[in-house]
This record gives sequence, C-alpha cells and structure tokens, in this order.
Amino acid sequence: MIGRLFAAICGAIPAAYLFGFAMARSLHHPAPTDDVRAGSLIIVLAWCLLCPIAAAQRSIAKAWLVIGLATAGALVWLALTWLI
Amino acid sequence: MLHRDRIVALYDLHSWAGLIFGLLIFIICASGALAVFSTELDHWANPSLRTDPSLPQTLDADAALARLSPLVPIRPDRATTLALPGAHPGLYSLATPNSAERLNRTYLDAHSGKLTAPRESHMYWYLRHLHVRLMNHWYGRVFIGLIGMAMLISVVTGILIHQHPVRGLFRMRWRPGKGMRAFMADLHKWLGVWGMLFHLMIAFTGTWLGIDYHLLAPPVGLAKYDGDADRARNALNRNTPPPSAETMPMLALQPLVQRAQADIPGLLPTYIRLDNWGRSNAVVTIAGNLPYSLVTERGSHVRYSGSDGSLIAKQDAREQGFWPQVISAMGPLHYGYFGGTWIKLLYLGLGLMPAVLALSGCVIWYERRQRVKRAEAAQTAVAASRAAHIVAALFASGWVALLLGLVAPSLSALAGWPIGTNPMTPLFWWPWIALALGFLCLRNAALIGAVATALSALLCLLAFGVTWRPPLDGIVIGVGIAALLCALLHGWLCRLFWQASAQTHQIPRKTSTAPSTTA
Repeated sequence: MIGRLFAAICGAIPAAYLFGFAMARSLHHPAPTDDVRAGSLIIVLAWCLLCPIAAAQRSIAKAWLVIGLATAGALVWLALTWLI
Repeated sequence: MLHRDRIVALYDLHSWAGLIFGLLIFIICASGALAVFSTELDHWANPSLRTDPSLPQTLDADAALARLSPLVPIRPDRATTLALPGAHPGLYSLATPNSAERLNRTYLDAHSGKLTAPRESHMYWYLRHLHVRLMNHWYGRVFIGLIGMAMLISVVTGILIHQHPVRGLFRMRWRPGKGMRAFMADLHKWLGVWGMLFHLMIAFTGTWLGIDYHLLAPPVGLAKYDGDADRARNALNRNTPPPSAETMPMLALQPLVQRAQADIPGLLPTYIRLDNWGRSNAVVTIAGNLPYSLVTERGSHVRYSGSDGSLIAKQDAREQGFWPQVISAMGPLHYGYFGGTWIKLLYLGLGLMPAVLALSGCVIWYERRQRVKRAEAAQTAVAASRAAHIVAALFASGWVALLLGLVAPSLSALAGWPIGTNPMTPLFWWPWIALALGFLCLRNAALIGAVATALSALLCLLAFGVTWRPPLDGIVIGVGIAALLCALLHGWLCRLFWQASAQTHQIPRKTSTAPSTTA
C-alpha cells in the first residue's frame, strides 16, 4: 500500500511538471508571464488527476505503469514543442 | 463501479491525507472562511478609520499626495503606492513604515482632508496572513500550498470513494440516536457531498496560489526559455527601468485616473503606483478592480508616462485570452470577492465546511480505531482514547486561539496598547500551545469541547462589546449581530458538550473494571 501511495503522490509530480513545461512552451500569449502561469496551472491539474488514478490501481506495478505512461506522453508533447 | 481493492486504496489515501494535515486544514479553512470578510472585519475592528460614505470627497489624488508626501518623502529609486478611496472607503493612504511597525500606513480623510488616528487593529493582515502563510513569512505560503495538495487528495479520493455523489445529494440518510460516531459519519458524508464542487475548487485554487510563485513558475519559466534565467525572471516579474538622471515636472494624477477609467470602462481605481517619480522616465500605474466580474483584484491597470502622459501599457483582464482569464479568475474564485455580500456569506458557510470535515474525519478515524483496538486489548483502547483526547485538545485550542487573535487587538487598543503586526504571530501560536496543554489536563474530549465553546462564546461577546462604538454603520451593525449570534451558537454547543461530558464521565465508571480485570 505504501509503495502504491508513494507512486501516486511522488511519481505523479515529475509527470505533472513535464506537462506544465510542454504547456508553457506550446502557448504564445503577448505577455510571456501568462504562458508560464498557465504551465504552472497545468502542473497542479495534471497532478490532481494522475494522483488518484495511480492510487486506485490494484498493484504497485500498475500504479507505476500509469505514471510511466503519463510521463511518456508528456515527454512526447515536450519533444514536439522543440521539433515543431 | 470501482473494485473493492481500489476503494480500500483510495480510502487509505483519503485517511492519511486527512489525518496528517487535518489539524492544519482545520485552521486554514476556518481562518479562510472568516477571511472572506476580512475587509469588513478590518473596518469593524478599527473605529478610527470609519468614515461616512455619504459625504462627498473633497480631496482629489493630487491634493492627497501633497498632504501625505511630507510624511513619506517620495524617492525616485523606490516605488510609492497611494491607496485611493476605492481601496478603503472614504480614505486615502500611504505606507509609512517605521522601526516598530513595518506595515504602518497613514490615512487621510477624503472628505475633511484631516489625518485620521492610527489604526487600532491589523485585522485584515492577521486573517490573510494566518490563512495564506500560517503567520510565517519565509516558507509559510509554500507549506500552505502543500496542505492544499493534501486537501485536494482528500477531496478527490472522497468523491471517488463515495462513487454516487450526485445520487447521494438527495438520498443521504441520517441516523439520529446512534451515537457520536454515526452522527459524525453522517455529517462528514453530508457536508462532503453537498460541498464537493466548492471544496474541489477551493483546494485546487489554494494549492496553485500557494505553490505557484516559489515551486511551479520558476522551473516552468526556465523550460519555456530553454534555461535562460534572465528571460524567465523577466517573464515572472514586472521590472521597471532604473530612474534616469534627468528631472522633469510631473503631470497631475487626477486627470490620469479619469483617463484610466475611460480606457478601461467600469474600472474602480484602487491604487496609484509611482515609479521613478520626478524623473523623465517616470511611470504612473493606475490599477483597480472590475466589480462583479471574475477578475483578480488590481488585475486591470493602465500605465502612463508621468512626464508626458503617453500610454505605455493597458491591461483589461476581460479582453485577454482563455488562459490569462483562467489565471485571473483563480484569486476571486478562492477568496470570493467577485459577487457582493451574498456570495461572501455563501463562501463563509461553504468555507467552514472543510474545517468541520477535517474535525469529523479525525473523530471518525479515531472512534473506528478505538473500537477495533478495544476488541483486541483494553490497554490499546485507553491509548486510542488518549489519541482522541489529544485531537480534541488541538482542534479546540486552535479555534479559540483564532478567535483570541480577532478580539485581543481591539481590547489591547482600548487599553491604550495597540498591538502591531510583529506581536501578532506569537499572539496566535502561544495561546494555541498554552490552551492545548491546558485542555489536555481536562477529563475527556466532551469537556474540552464544553470549555472551548464557553471560551469562544465569551470571546464573541467581548468582540461585540469592545467594538460596538459610534460611528455605527451597516458593516459594524452586521458584524456585531453576527458576533452575538456566534456567542449564542457557542453557548448552545457548550450546553450539548457539557451534557455529553456528564454522560461519558458516568459510562467509564461502569466499565472501568474491564481493563483491570483484563489486565
């Protein structure tokens, strides 16, 4: 149980940050502070969605799988902001 | 439908998040609910700053600045902010920090042009500072953000555990006469379901407001600008160029205020910020609120050149894109200042719910644990009972300390020793610790409740008595009546707790032989 909770709470944090980075890089508002703050908003949103989804898995492996998939998705999005 | 294993995992997460941070969630939510009315409470606690709003303003911004600036010389290398009567009804004010009180301000009556007596209480500061930083300048805000994360976990897992929250809105059952645990469980479910969306919103906005500036925005800024720290810093802070050496006569402020109101229709100007004042690159920023809109306070502003009046920048929060509007809505959604008194009253009621949820959640957990342990061994039942005792003492002392912080500055000012912001931090923490230690000496949790509610009723009566002074206006009368009603409510709760204490005192006598015989 502890391992699953750790995966849910702490594992979701890097994934959420990556989503925030990708979001901030994708936006182009006239005031740059709006892009940065929208990115930071997405971090909290992504974390509070990922955390219960990972916690609700029936095994620690599945919890890490959810976190891993989310991290991979965020990395792909982030890579696209460099490529496109 | 979630599998039972998943519900158990979510339940564990819900319990631990609530248990570890329950006490702090209680204090933050209770102070936050009161902080919705922080402006009104500040007005009520400072009779010297009350003005008659029906009197016309005879002083404009230029006359006010001329009157106040001898008290605080305006330096070109430092920003000066003049608060307009839109910020504090009927008054202009300028920050005049001194060694004893760094948040000191000097107030000027916009009608008579006279300086008012110093403020008697820093009520607004106390409520906001307690709610936003737990009275800690350094890392308090981040800590509050982390507590917001725990609350967010509790709310989201609570919704998932319940599984049918919409159906539960109308089909919740109450079990009267089934004891304290059943009552607390029903109350917990009922408040949780009815306040679900509000709690989700408050936890989300609170978390973001708490950790955005220190933990989120800096790394996001670096990611946005490929690690360029200077560009990231510029994106986060509004930097004004340093003052030029060339001095210039400055334009009058009042025409600029009127221009700002024409540039942003509906703007209620609240502050004028003066940068590089007296120099050729002086900037006058006129910031204000857009009443009855979901826009952050001071979120709309116009910047003019102080020397030639040319428009430098304009920000109307209503004309921005989707994300800036969402960001701008976070403040009003969290603090409830977007819709007048009725919305604030709604926020007060809904804002107290998480505090009750934190309390009831802890009671349910300890009662359940006590029941299980009692079945296992009498020794551990006593330990669990002590744990419930400690929880009751901490929660009750936190509430009394919060009320004491509201009343003590007014009492002290009446006695001739006004309390500044510096002693307010220990004024909250030390009574909390002292009261908690005192309450731990009491016989049982119900008696703690009785004593705490009696003290709270007394403090509410004192609050009514010390500030019921002329000039009486709508806010003073409203807060006074609310204080009386709170005193009555606490008195009624005190009676209930007293009866419960008498009953629980009798029950152990009958069962007191059980542990000794088991041992």
